[in-house]
Amino acid sequence: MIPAKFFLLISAMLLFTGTLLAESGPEKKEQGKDLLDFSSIKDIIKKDGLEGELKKKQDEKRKYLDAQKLKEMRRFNVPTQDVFWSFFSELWLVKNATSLKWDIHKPDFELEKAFTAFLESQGHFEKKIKILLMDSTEIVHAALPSNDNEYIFILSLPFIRTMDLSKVEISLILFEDFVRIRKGYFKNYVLDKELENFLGSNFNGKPFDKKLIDSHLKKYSTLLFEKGFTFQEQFETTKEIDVLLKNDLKMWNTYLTLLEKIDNLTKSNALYKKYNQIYPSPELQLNWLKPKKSEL
Amino acid sequence: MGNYSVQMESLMKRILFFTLCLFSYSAISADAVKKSMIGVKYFSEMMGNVHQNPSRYSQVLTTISCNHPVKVMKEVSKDGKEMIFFGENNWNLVTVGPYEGYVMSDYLSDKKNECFEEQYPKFFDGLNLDINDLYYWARLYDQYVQGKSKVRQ
Repeated sequence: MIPAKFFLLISAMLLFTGTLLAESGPEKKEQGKDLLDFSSIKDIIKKDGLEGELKKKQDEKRKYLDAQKLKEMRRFNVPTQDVFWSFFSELWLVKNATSLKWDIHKPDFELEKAFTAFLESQGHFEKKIKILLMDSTEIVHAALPSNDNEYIFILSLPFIRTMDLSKVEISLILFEDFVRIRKGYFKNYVLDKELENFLGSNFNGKPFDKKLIDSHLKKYSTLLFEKGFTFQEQFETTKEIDVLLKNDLKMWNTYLTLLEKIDNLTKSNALYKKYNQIYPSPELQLNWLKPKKSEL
Repeated sequence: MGNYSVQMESLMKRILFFTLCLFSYSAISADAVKKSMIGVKYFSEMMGNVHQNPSRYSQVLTTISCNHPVKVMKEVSKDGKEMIFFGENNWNLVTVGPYEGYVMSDYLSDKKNECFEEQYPKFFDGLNLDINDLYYWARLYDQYVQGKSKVRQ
């Protein structure tokens, strides 16, 4: 015989289970509905600002990637003219170190002090100068193109010795180069349309044009070793120095004497025969400087 | 020939320099000097050399490039006074890696510089400079004599 208590217990358990099922049934149904229908919580997300946050994050990522891309592109920038010339002149000096023979042990003449003082006396302030002495007569003296307010000079040590130049005379030679480089003859000769377009550009995705660089380095050599400056350029330079030095007659006379010394040297010493070809010519300069005799 | 020759002047200066160096170094024994760090500075030119002695012709210990950090040292005597030997005033005693040597003061800056090779790295790489070129570039900055005309007053 099954006791009545057992039936009572089974009935109670069934009732309890039924109640539980009745309670959980609709909730389960609702959860299933939520998983399937995203649009029902879209408004809630909007209200929470999560969509805006997502957009912000996406914008940030895009900006970061754009910046990275731009940064990578900038690595291919070609220098602008503002920073190109000093670098390029130094590159030429480096590439021609053996022929110019500037890597030598030389005495300290303190030329920089003498020349900066000279520049100041002529009213040229805040000019940075670099002087490089060479143990060569291939180039006697020159100023190389450089960045704004910066000047690179090369000067032959054997020339200083042969001429037994004083600091004032050296300063005058450097000053002539200073005036010449400020007139832009050298830059104008080197800078053609091709180089002008190349400077300040970007070569991302293109091969680097090394030939262009090499051909323009060659232009430096052509001008300084072979071609030199024109008569017109030399005339303009000499005339400007004439005007600038006329206020100080002692200095003007020193310049005249210096030109006479150089003229004698170029006529008597075979090592300096090429000088007239590069800077035509001390004799002509003297004629341009000397006052003309008025005819009565 | 009436001109005062710069060569003669230079020779006299060199004799004076070496005489003073001799006196200066013999007067102070090496162990009486201590070295302490002043701070970090950055090399400001394209390439440069660290020299064994404060002279542009002294042996090169190592070569550094633009923005290379160097530890600037000072020499202090036993009683705490900073010592600057004759000929050292345009030079800084520096430590670069394992080397201790001298770099010209004009080529060191307190802040990082805008270096050409950092601003235009691919252009610089494209030039294909070899070790010989870099050696001469560093030598170029040893060999330059530099100056700047003063500010207009």
